Amino acid sequence: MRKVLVVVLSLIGVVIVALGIKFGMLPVIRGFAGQI
Amino acid sequence: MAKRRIAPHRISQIIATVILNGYILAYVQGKILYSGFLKSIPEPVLNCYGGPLSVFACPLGSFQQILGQQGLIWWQRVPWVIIGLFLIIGAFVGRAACAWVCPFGLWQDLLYKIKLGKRAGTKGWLTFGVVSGIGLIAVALLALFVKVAVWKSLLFGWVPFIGLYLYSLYQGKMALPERWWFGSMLVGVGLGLLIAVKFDVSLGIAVGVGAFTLFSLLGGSRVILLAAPLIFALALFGKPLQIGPFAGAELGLILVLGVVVLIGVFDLLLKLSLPVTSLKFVFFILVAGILAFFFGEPWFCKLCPQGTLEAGIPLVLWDPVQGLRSLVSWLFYYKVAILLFVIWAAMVVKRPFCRAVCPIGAIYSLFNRTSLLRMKLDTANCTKCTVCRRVCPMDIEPYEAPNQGECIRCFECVWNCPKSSLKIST
Repeated sequence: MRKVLVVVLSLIGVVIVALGIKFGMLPVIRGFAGQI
Repeated sequence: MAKRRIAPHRISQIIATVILNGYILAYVQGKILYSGFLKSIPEPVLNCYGGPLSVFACPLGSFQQILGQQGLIWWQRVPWVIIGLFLIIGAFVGRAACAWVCPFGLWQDLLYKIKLGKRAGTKGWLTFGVVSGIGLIAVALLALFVKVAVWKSLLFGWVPFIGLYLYSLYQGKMALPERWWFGSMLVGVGLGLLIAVKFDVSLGIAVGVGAFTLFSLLGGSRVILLAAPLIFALALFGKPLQIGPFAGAELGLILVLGVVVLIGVFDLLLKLSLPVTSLKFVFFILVAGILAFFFGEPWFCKLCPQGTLEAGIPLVLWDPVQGLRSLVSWLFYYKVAILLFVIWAAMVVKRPFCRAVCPIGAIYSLFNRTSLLRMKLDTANCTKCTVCRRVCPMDIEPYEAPNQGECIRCFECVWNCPKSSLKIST
């Protein structure tokens, strides 16, 4: 059961990362580097 | 089982620290920081992306920046990549990145090896003298180097530092994270910083010390009453203020009420027997989440000692564009003071920042009970000899709950268990 949860959580994670990349988030992150 | 000379996680920490902060070309090319493609990829641990040697993006800094973007539709303000990264890493290895990758974890582990001030008494005072002396010289040199008044650096760096140290000596032992005053220090510094940033420096210091005092009093200490005159003195010297329609006594009342409410919340947390380690969730939700979202600024970065160590101080000292030093303000000194306190605390207790403050550690800790990588305890074989606790960099008791949220999966306990009762499992 726990291992199923691990697979589900990591799959959700992969989908969310893919969504972020699709939304063009990586250049946004780079643009923020060093700003506080 | 033979004890290993250098633990595998230590070697991994060192390699990771070099990789994450390996842009030595910055010094050759005279750049402030690297801003190429790799800077768009978040790393799994806290590591300031403003550092001149930093290669990747800090996930927490990026998280706050994306969350704080104003005037965008909601899905553009969700830090998708960061959330997904935390989910994937957490699901597989729980909090292992804190032990195997995090550079700030490495600094804290090494600082604890110095073994200063772990006992009160004569030795404690000696330690106090040595640490204060070194720190005093360092801060004064820094102040002279960047041409900012020495009194400012002393005020920001040493008034809270010395006060806290004296208080801890009074308490007779140094189990700081278990004590009220550690929480009160966090409230005091955090609240003081917020007020100082937004309103006024003197008022920020006054309210910060006030919060610390009140909260410590609730904890039953009397010695901290000595701090009360300081609050009044600072408040008297504070500049006149007006915020919106509020000014003078009205404003003071509102601020004091705010402090009391905040203290009440922490008081409630402690009455509910929640450990001080729960504070890192407050830092995550309140500082890195709510404040960043509503104010549009990365508030945790303004407190982060890791950023001061690997970005703020190197940049000010190096100053590749011959202009950074002129930008130094009181915020820099406040951050140096926080860093100094964390350095000192890390010499006294194991990983204080990871246990009580780090928002990334808070997120990963949620996955520890279900992650693929875990530990298994043979309860029949375990004699509760506490060797595991002594070698644990997080000072937890693996024989009570091997997969608790505070475990960072360094496996020191597994390798040092004389009965081999703890094993790595999946």
